Amino acid sequence: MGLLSIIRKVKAKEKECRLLILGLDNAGKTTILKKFNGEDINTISPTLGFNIKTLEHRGYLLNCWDVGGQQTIRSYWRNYFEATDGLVWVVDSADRVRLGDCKRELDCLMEQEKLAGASLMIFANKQDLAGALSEEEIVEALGLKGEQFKTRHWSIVACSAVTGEGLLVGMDWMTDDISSRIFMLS
Amino acid sequence: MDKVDFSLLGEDSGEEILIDGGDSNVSEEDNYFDEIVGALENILMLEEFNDLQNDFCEQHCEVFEDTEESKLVYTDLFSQYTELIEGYIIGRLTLEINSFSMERFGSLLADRQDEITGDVFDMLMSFTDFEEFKSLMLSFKNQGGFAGGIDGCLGIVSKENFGVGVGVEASPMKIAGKKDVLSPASREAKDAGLSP
Repeated sequence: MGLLSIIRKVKAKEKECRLLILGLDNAGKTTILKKFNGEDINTISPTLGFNIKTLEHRGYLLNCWDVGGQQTIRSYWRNYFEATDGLVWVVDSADRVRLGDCKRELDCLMEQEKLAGASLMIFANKQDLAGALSEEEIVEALGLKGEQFKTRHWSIVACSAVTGEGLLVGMDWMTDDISSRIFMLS
Repeated sequence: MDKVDFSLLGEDSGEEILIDGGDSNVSEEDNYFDEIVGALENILMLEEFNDLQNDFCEQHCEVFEDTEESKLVYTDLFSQYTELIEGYIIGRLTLEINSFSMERFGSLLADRQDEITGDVFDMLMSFTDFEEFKSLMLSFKNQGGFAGGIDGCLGIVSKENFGVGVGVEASPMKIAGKKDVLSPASREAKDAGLSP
């Protein structure tokens, strides 16, 4: 580790963690982030780059990195893996057609060494839409009972970024899980 | 520093001598730590270091825009920037302090969690903060120079005074070439009262 990262690590506020928010385009990553932060969600356009927000939640500082999900820019996701404590995977539960893509991309992330220790929160988003798959159906479709999730700390929450339903539950789980892994040890 | 400590010790009571005697290992570590922090302080105030930042900002600030969303390319530039700064600082430290070891300094840092405060560490922290980087680039683009927190520590060097000509890639060569002027330069910085 280099000088600057050591200093950052030693000096970092005790309860600070880094969350990476990923998912296919139009899954609702930015909307979740803004809604959770109490911002207006009526004028959100597709993210071509990334957004950063530092949120305070139950005494923790969450550095949230929300990176665009369009196919052409997914290869850039890996530039944001470093030092990630928690991965938030956002699924458009009403987009049945692309659930295969969604599973493939998630599987790919699970193989990344830099994300190996990260807690995984899956938001089954867009529950406000008619035809949205349930939490159980998403678990099935993404194969979350499969082998590569056996050793992973993961959870899934049905949510709606538009109504805000479920967001708090998900973020609570995430901070609890990360803090039980990281902060209890020290 | 040692001499001052000893003279103070001599005037004090025997009890305190005993206490101080017990601390002698600690103070060697302290000296090493202080020496490095002092060197870091000097390095951050070097014109050459300021040039390095200026040149980088000048070369890359055009792509930055004052929008909430960041472009993917900023991340690339940010890691280049961090590597450049870190490379320079480590290079300088190695020149100034023969016995410099990142490993040793790293463990001293970890033991001094509560002591690493002040401008030097704030500034070093800022180099790994993406949002500070973005606002630095934006202020550079808008005003053609540093603004905000950084100049408070550095002393402003405007880009009019320091040439556009030196590319960032050339900097490691500059470091090596200036080896012999290093100590006077850092002393000058101290003499000029820039050091707290």
